[in-house]
Amino acid sequence: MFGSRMVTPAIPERVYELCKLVEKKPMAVKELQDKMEPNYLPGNSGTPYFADYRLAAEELGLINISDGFVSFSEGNSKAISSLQSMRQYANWHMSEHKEGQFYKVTQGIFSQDTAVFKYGNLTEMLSEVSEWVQSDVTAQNLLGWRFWASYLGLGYLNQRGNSVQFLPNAGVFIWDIISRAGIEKNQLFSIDEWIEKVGTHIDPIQKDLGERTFNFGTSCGLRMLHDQEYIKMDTIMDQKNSWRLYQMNSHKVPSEITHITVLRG
Amino acid sequence: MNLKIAKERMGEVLKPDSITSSQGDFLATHVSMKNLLLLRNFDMKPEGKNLSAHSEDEVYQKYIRNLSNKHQFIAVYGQSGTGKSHLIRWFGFKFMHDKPENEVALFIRRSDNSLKGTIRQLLDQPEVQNVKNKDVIERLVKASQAVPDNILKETIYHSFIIEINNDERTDGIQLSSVKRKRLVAFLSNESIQERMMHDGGPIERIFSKIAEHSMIATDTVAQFKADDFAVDPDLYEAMQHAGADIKASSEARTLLADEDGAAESKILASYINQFVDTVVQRCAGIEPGDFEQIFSEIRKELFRQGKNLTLFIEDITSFTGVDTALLNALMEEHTGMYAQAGLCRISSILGGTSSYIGDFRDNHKDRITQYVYIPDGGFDNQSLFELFGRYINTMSLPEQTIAEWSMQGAKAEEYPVHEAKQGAVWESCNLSGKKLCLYPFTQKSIVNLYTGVLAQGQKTIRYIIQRIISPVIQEAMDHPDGLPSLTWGIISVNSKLDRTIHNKLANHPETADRLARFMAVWGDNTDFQYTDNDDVTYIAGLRKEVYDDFKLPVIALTSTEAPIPPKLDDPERKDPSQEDNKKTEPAKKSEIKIAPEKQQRLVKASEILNKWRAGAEIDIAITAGAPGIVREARDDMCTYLMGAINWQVEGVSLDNMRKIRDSSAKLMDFERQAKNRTPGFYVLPANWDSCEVVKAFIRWSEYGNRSFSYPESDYDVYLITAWAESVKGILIKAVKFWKVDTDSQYVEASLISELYRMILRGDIGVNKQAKNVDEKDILSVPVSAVNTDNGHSKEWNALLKLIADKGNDSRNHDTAVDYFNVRQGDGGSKVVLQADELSQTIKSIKAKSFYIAPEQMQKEDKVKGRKDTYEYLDSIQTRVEAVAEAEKAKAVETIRYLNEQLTDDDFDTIDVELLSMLLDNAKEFYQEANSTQINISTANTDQVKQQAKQIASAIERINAALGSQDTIGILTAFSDDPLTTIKPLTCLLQTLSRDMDTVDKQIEKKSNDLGINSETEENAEMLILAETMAKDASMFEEAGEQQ
Repeated sequence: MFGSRMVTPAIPERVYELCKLVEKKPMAVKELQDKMEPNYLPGNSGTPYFADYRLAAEELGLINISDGFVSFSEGNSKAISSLQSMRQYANWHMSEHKEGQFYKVTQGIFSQDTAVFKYGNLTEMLSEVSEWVQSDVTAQNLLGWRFWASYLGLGYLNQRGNSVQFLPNAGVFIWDIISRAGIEKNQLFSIDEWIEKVGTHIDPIQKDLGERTFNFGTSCGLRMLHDQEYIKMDTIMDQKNSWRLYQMNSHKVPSEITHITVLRG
Repeated sequence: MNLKIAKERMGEVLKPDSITSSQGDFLATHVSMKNLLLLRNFDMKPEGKNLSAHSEDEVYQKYIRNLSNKHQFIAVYGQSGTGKSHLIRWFGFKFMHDKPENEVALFIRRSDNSLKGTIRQLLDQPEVQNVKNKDVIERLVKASQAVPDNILKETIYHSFIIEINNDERTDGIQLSSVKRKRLVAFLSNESIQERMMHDGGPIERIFSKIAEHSMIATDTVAQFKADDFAVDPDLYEAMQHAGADIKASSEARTLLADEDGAAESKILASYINQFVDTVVQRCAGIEPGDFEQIFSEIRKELFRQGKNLTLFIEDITSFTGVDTALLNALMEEHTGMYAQAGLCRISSILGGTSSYIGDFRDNHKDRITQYVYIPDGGFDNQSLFELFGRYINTMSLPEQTIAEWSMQGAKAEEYPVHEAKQGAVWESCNLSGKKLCLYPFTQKSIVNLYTGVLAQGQKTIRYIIQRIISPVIQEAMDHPDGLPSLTWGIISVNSKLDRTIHNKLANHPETADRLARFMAVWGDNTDFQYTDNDDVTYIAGLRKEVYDDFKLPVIALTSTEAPIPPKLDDPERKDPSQEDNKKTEPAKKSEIKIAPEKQQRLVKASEILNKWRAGAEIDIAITAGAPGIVREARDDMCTYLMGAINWQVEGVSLDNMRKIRDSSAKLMDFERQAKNRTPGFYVLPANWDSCEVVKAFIRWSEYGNRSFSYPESDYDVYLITAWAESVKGILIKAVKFWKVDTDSQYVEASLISELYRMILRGDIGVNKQAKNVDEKDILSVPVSAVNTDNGHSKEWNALLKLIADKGNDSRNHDTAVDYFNVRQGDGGSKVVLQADELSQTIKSIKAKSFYIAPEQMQKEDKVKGRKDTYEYLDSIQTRVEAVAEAEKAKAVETIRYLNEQLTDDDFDTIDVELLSMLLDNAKEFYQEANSTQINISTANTDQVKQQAKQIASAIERINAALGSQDTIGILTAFSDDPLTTIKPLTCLLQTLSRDMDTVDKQIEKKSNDLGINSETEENAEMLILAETMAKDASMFEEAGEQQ
């Protein structure tokens, strides 16, 4: 999922469930699989999904597999205290999977600003996505991506029948990074200081920091955090450094911002 | 404007009916018509047929002046309110000044608007004072003046009923006798009569043509309309309540039906309208012959005086009832075959609505020498501005000033202009070099209101006065700080401007709304400001100073260069409704154009939302029109939330969400939503932010055809994504709860039902206790056909059938499995269990002893799928105790029989050992019988022998159950049908009993035959064996009888 190609069965809830089962004590691979995909249930014959989500958990560094036993990765207990904490953990570590398809597709989609929501269905933009990430992306890959994109707070799915549209708004993702980065509350930071604090963790959604322009999805996320009073964005005149948000005249925050204050924590 | 003078003059000047205003005011407000169409033959809608437009002056010179002094009949027609009266009155005014000396000009006003009033006007003309029989006619006209209104109305109504009842006509539209009786019964119903006679109803319309003092002064057509016969469920109910007879009810039902009702209404209206003339004449007391005679006398009198007649009739509908007679009189020429009649030449100019003139008989239409058509919506921008400017100017001047100007010939160059006391810097219109102040209007607002407020068919002077000029000026006089009020809704939405205003005035939402309306309707609806070369700043196209006149704050918008706007008073701009408002906007990036009708739908929906935000209820029960648009947006919002929130991640199973999706409770409803029987999970608060989100969904649907391909959609994406995040927490809590702060635990009910299903089907397994069941036990029981061929009680089998009734078992099984299935959206064929939660839930139901008390059942849950789970368990739980008792009752006799047969003081338990002894004894018995040559066949003991363990176990379980009071324990004990298991044993015992009896009898017979007694030792042994066997046989027989 994160190391190489994306698959649909490796959804975050299954990864979480698997981790919870081995959190207390290691479990034989077969036993774990039987626990999660018991054969006594009709329809569970054939190739199980188990290998896919087990691999995703392993790629995220949440479990280890040794001698036919699956064990929980030591020191990560807090990461699975809830699905939300696992999300924060995954978001913080996402930048470590630069070579994986998930990272590349995410960065590619975010770099396209509003072009992504002209597609009524994710699968309609297959060829474009392949171009953005410069490798072949299949419909199944993209459908697998959506589960994690939604879970990680990169945006929201607009589902109509069989069509799934992705609407970028990385507010939840950004807040996870802010929270994990331990940025001091109620302290005014220049935008450059803020960028330094979130560091490379913001890379999955913001491809090119050199342009000093937040893309649409990141801008939506920042605006949402501002509107819901998680952060406060300011424009202080005569400041040397500023970043541009995606132009949205209707929003009360101007496009040019110079400072960010974290209001919650 | 001069509001002080206008307060006095407004009522005099702003009269929707031109004919009621003074000559001076009429001339001061008259705007020349430039688009009259001339036709030789009648055409209901001649617009768009390549006809040349003519000015009123051209028409006047060519036809009205009648320089060739010929007989003519000119019909001026158009939709109601298009200005027919204005035009005819202007023709009349001009003609009075231009007419030759021997020409008598009569002007028949509509102001009295009744047949008798019209005749009286004729008789008042000085030229006819000596007309023959004048006193007789005057008496006729005054005949029914004293009849009270209500009596006259009832007379009209019942006259129609009488006409229908006695209809023996053989031409026109006819109804069958049955149909007529039904119609009479229908009209005679109290509720229907009340409906027909209400204000504005058909009887009121006809009454206005007869009564002397009717208040209806418009060109109302005195006829029934199809709508007058429409019956809705409320009316039908009222009829029934009032005791409608069968025929009336029957007719009402026909009219109530959707399609048939509409057709029937049309037929009935057409049919009954055939009697209008007759009824009007009867109720007015005037016959057609009287009328023709009056006109004939007038023409003869004028002929005698050597004069000609030019007749201006403002409204032909005033002659309802005698219009045919009037036409006959006016169309009679003075030359040719009529030359001997001694009639004067007559030139008639007559006004009427298109539909009224269209209903003239063909021979009348053919004799009309010229048609003059006034198109609907016939105002170009310049005319509109002039119209507004003239009315504002006239009411801002003293009556005397206007009267003097009129008296001096009403020359255009002498047209008086007021000095603006209010709105001096506001826009004006140019009238031959004179500037007429437009305050409280702007040119944009005039165009926007004309386009947006007036529907097609209402773009007439009358409606302009009634719906725009009068109310806006009234607001400016009374509450300038409230202008524009909610009445003046936004016509074209600029969401960006709207949001900018509300962002800047977030703490003053009402002022923000008003400012938004002002900028959108009075201004140019752009989010730009600029300063021109004269250093005048324009914000949204409005001078900065004008905001203060309406007590509105000035907000800064995006600065841009001053544009060179096309002049709105450019005469070449013909149709304001086709205006592209963006043409006047400062330069903007190119955008996809949104069709005006789509914008209108958003506007209409926004009006509903604005009223809702202001405190009104919101009714989206109907699917059509603007409420339908809002309703659809609500549904789209629900669908969106369903997909946008990651429910499973938030601890809500997808099974729960499916049940919610399929329930009547919506994921979201509006605050103050009318007719909402099942409230939604999230109540959208009535505030500006909510309205913005709803409008975003409307734009997505309307502008983007359910996509985000439309201008400014990026902000809508932001709006709806941020909204989903903001309501997520509330929604998740709401869907988890079945009532305030109480978790829905329907899956527990589902699992308990699954346990019962497993027990009753016999799937729990021998010796398995309910307390020991695990995930596999509960979830692995497949759903299959019920088998009642077993040893259970009829109560047990009845419950077994009930559990599987109508697929309930299948549905409940799916609930139990799906609830714990970690699904990948709607896809994936495999079940990946949330093993930990499943295990915890099973622990929980065990702790509750697999029982949910009735008061703890969540049977009032608004989600049917969840409620059904409890209903299902309840239907099982209420029966299981009786089933357990029935099973015990059935088992107790068998167990007693076995105990009696097989146990004694030494062997008090039927176990494998005892059964082994029984089998040994049986074997010995048959061997002895055979050796003594007693003829019985040996019973088969193999089954008992082979199943001895199971039989013993079954008996043990039954015995335990018989002493138990634990229902679920009893049911578990009987789950694998132990009575069927022990059946081979009871059968064997019965066979043994029968065989021993046979042996007994044969021994006795043989003993008698041989004369054996018990004295000898050998004989004694034989007898002991015989007695033992006889005793056993007797015991078995006895037991067999008991069974």
